[in-house]
Amino acid sequence: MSVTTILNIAQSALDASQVAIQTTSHNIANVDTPGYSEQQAVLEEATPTPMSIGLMGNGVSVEQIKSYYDQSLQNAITNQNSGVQQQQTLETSLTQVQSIFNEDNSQLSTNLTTFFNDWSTLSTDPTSTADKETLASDGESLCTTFNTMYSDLVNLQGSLNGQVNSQIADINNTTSQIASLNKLIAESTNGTSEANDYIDQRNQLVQQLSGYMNISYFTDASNMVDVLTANGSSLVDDGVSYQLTVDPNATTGLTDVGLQGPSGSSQDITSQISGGSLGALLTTRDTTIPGYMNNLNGLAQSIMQNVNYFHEQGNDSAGIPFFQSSTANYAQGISLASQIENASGAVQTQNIMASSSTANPTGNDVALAIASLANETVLGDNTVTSTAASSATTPLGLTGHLAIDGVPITVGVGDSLSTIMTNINAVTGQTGVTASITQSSAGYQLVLTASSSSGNISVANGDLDTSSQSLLQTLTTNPVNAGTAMNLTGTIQLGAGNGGNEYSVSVQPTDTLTDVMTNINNINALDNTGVVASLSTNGSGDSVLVLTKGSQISIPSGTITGTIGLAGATYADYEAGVVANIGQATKTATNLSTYNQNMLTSLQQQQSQESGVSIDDEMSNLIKFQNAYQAAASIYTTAETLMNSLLEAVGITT
Amino acid sequence: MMRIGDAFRYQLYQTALSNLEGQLDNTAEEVASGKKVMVPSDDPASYAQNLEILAQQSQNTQYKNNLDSLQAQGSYYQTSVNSISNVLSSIQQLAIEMASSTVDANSRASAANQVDDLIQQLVTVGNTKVGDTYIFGGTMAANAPYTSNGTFQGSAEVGQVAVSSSTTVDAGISGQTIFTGTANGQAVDIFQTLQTFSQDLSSNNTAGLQTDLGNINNCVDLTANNLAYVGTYTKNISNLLTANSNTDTTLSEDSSDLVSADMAKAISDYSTLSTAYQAALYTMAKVESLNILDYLPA
Repeated sequence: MSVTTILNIAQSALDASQVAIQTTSHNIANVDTPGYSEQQAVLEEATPTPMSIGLMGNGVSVEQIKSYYDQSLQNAITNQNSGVQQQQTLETSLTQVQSIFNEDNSQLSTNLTTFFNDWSTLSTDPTSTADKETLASDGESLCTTFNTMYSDLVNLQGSLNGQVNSQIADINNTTSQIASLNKLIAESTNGTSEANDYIDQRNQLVQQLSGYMNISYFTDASNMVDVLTANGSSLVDDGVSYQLTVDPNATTGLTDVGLQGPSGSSQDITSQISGGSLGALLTTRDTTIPGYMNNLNGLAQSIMQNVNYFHEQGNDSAGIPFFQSSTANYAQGISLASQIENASGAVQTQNIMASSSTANPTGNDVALAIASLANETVLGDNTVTSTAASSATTPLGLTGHLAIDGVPITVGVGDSLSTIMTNINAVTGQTGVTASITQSSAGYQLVLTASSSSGNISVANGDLDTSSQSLLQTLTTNPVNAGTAMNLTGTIQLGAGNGGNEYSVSVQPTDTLTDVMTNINNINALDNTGVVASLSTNGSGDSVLVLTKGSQISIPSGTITGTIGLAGATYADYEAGVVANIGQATKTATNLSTYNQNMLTSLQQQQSQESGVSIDDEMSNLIKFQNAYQAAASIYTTAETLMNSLLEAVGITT
Repeated sequence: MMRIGDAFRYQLYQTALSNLEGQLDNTAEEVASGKKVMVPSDDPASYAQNLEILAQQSQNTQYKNNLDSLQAQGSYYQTSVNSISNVLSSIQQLAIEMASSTVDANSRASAANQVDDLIQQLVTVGNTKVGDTYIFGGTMAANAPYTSNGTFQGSAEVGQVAVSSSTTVDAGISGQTIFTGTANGQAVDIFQTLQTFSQDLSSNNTAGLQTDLGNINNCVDLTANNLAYVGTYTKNISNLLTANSNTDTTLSEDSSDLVSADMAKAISDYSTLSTAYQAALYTMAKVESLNILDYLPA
């Protein structure tokens, strides 16, 4: 115990206060630094000296600079950020898609209605040149609307692709910074202000990275963070980061996201990125926009084909199309036919048809038929099946015009599902589309099956249409009482694939197996199909149908892919449906964006309570440590007085 | 103990204020535009439904235009059939006079000239042209349907005009319907009858003149029926116009219900939001004035 000890204690107190004041100053300086966690000097009493009177204190020491942060809370924020960025980006990009479809901008619905109204006007004055001029001009506006909307979508896709590229650069920048910080953290000492700052910065970067894309990450034994993609490919491994690459897709021209792995070779990870802003950009670019492009194409295709179908019947089936006929890029390329508007832009009014007959020059049947397309049910996209009907054979009371792969099928008020099916199947040779009727608890539904070139079902001997297949399979494999009504509905097509005529045998619910056999044999007698039906009866008296043409015809089973059906909508309704769809998608993204943002705010609030810098706290700490410093300084004065007194006592004057 | 970091406190204010600003903007736009649904995402179902209604309304306007042109044409038919009726009345008068045994061959010959003139009048009526269209030509209305001797060269068929999404009406009336037909159970051909009458007058065929008188009576009756027919035709069109106008009103109301702003509500919302915004700013100012630095000695 000596005066020197007192000086040592004062020294330690001054040091501790200085460190504390420095830490407080650091906090104040970083009050607005994103990701900064409040730090605090943790003070500890110095190891006491044992004396005869017990342990004597030796002053104070700074144990460590503690950073106030909760790693699990930080992880929650990091994950939440992925959702926030994803929904915000979706909201932004979908709002752009929406503005393309917004009627105020596109005028698609208006132009569509005007176009068909013009045909109605022409029908009241079929020879009017003025009406035909208007029609050509409004037809051109409709084409331009389709062209513009489609190219706007293409441009938007391109601009999103640009964002994908720049985000890939941002991600690479972020991962390489995380890797550098990993090294710095491993090299620095735990519990220092320096190490805390690095960890804060790294947390901030990981949070940023998760905003870009969905990642998983963990901290390893050496306190380094390893970052992986959703499928476990490494983005950051300790001090090394792996770069994402911009790989232009040869088909689409858009960017595939590659990952330059440890082996140096790049793998395509586009499909693994489903979250964060990059995930949202990819979803909009690759799924949403192409979906709406298909909608526009379907609409443009149907209008082009249906209008042309009637227009070509004009002037004794002169075969003059109204729209330039095409087989692809419908919305992008739809334009007036060269016969309607020549290369120099002059409208050829004499080629705009109102009447189907040159003998009736002021007839208006063509104009009327085209005008009425506006009220007809048109084909939707290829995922919709028809509304269920309670019976396959009672008239549906629908009128309309289906474009099946470009071939129009007119539906009359008296047509039943079964009639429509037969009509569609009559042109299967042209369309490659076969119709069948399914029965479920919902009722009867028309299912259209598009055969792809490779998925075509080959039918033995070429005598049966593919559409007959499931019905024939039932008739030839399920034994029934040959005299009882089978409650089956459908059509057996005979003669398909021979290049000759096709004959239908219709099966009604009241038909027995014997009836079907008789009908098939009657067709043979009348039209010489060569297909002969007989019954084969088993031991319990039930029969199956046997078909022969020379030898027995085997009914093959095949894979049926894809269904198309009636959307049950007019052009205007279909267009409105597409707009409702994009509106709903935008609304959902906006709501989810708000929801995710609120969740993030609530997490940030918790984090702020834990780690945020409060000026009030810091200022009171500053005063506290300032006072402590002053007090420690006065210990010096006291010790000095003591020392001087001692020196005076021994005769040394200072 | 609840403690809030300064940086986050500012962030909270920022979020709250920008939310309020956003809502204020939307409400102001609603008031200014008079529409509560401005983009599809505001209310996808209403937006789409409104698009469908607007399309229907535009179609309905087209049907109105079609009806208007039919109505205009209808008045020409009425005038034409009236003239036919007048011509036939004078011919009927003449036929009665000429059938009398006291009339001599010379008078009959001069009456024949009169009848020929009247036939030409009827040909002119049959070739009535409105704009570029001969209204009695049917689907061959680009050229005059009647030759000078009353031979019909037009078409008995008439086009159809759509007047609603499910209804079409005849685009007009063919001359065939007006100048030929059935009356009193007998086939009637006005021009044929008058030609014969004129010939019988020239040749002083008294027996023929008796038959002609009966035939001319049939022509008069046919035309009386036609007058009623044209009346019904035009009446039907004005009824359809009334229905059309009612549909238009209903569609306008439906559209307005779906997307038009409730002004009273929008304006009161706006003032509520302004108050909230001011209150937020006031609170922010008050809380920020509670700064420890203000209470520390300089």
